[in-house]
Amino acid sequence: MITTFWLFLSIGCIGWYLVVLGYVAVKGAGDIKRMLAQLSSRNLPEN
Amino acid sequence: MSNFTKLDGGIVGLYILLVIVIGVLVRRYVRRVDQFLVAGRELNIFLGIASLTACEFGIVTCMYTAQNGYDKGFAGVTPGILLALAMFIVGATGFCIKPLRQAGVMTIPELFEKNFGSKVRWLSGVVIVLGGLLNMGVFLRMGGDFLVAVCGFNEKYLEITMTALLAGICLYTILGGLVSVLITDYLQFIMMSVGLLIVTLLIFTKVGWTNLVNAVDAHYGAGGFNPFLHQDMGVDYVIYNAFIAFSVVLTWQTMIQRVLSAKDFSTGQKIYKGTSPFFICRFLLPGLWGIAALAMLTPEQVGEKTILAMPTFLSTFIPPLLMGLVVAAMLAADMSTDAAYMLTWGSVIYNDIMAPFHKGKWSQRKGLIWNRTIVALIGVFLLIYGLWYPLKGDLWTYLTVTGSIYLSSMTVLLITCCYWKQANSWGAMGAIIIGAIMPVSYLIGEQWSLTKTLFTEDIGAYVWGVLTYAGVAVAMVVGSLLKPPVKTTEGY
Repeated sequence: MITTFWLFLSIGCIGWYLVVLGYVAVKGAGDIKRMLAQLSSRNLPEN
Repeated sequence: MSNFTKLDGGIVGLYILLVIVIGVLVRRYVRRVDQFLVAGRELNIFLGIASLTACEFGIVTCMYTAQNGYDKGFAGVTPGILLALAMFIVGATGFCIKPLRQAGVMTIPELFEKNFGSKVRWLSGVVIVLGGLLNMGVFLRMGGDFLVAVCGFNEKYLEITMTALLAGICLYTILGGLVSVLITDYLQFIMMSVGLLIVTLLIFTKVGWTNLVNAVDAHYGAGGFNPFLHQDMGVDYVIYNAFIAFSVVLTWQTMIQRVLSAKDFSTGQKIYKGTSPFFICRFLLPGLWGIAALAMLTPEQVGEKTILAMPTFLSTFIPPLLMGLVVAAMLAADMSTDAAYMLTWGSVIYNDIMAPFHKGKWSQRKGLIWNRTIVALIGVFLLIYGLWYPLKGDLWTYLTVTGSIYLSSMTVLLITCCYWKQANSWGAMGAIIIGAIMPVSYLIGEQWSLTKTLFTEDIGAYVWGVLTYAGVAVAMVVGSLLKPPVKTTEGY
């Protein structure tokens, strides 16, 4: 019974991680672009 | 003989170079201290998740979680489950992190100044830095041990290799601050995640689930699956780790920095909730690597240092070429952790310990120069401390004990600061002093022959850890109640 718990937890972790890896890889790139754009615009008056 | 080839070395070298170049290129976005320390509070959800994940998983993490798997079986994943639960609960409820983020501060001690005064802010900064630096002091050594075991490196080149790696990390952290750290964290999140998943899937297919379960059963019986039944764990281990889990989530500066850097509180909450399941993966996946080492290696092959069981196993288990990817993934994990930790403790040194000197009045240029100097000095400390401290006992316990130097007191201070109006500077001072003395006395006591048995066997690290939290809470309550209720500029 308890070995089944660990098996499901292991498979669940791998599955969750695969999904999050794909999702965060795509969305995170967008976040970087936005962050750099915001930082650039704030720094403009000092240029 | 390791499967690490020259081609693998080329893959690793190219990856490291790429990360350092990208990290250095984004330095032009950093013109102000707040951009250096909290990326101008422009952090969004997905970059936050990638960064927090990469920051909280280094070679050192992989080593101690795999050691937990080797020494404790599946039950060794318990701290990860507790961390995930703590993080989700705090993220969902906003407990402490809501008032902290809404206060608009850059570090936790900055919040304390509002309730407890400037002395408490300064002292909090000191214990945070002391605990944090002792904690990360072993990172470099662990990274080196990993490389020696996995790649079959000659130990005489190790110091040069690790120094060069640290110099590269320092370079982009010094120039680009949190902006560089966040972007390189993103790359490192992808790299380390791919490596983690590939090795775990390889273990599932080549070693097999049945062999993993049988190995744990043969070595630890029911205790290998249930922490309450394991001879080295039990109720005190679980309770101590539950305290640690909530403390880490609430006050560990590298984690809380993501909430403080988030563009708003709601984003910070989502980062916490979204990252929480990773903390099970963080313990479980390398834990499976440790269990695989338990299944595939003989005790003679491992020797007394069980921390090296996993890298010894990987050195012959992973085929060439894939080895390069995995080592690059692990170095990626290490670089992101080192960079984030250097910046984080540096931010506390500048923002809180040096507050009496700059009083928030230094120019942005001067502030940036000081911040960069502090990060460089932390790098030098890492190099020196990492080479001479002789680690005894298991690594996870060392990390939790050194972390306790500030985890216990800062947790109590944060909770009372946010939710107990009677809390004052006397209680805060008492809590900080007790919270620092007790873990340090354990570190000294376990090394001294006269008290070694008392500390390591009679009391034990877990009971001592729980007693530390209890002592800190008592100090806070007693100190606060003892102070006469007269209004001053520092509050009550």
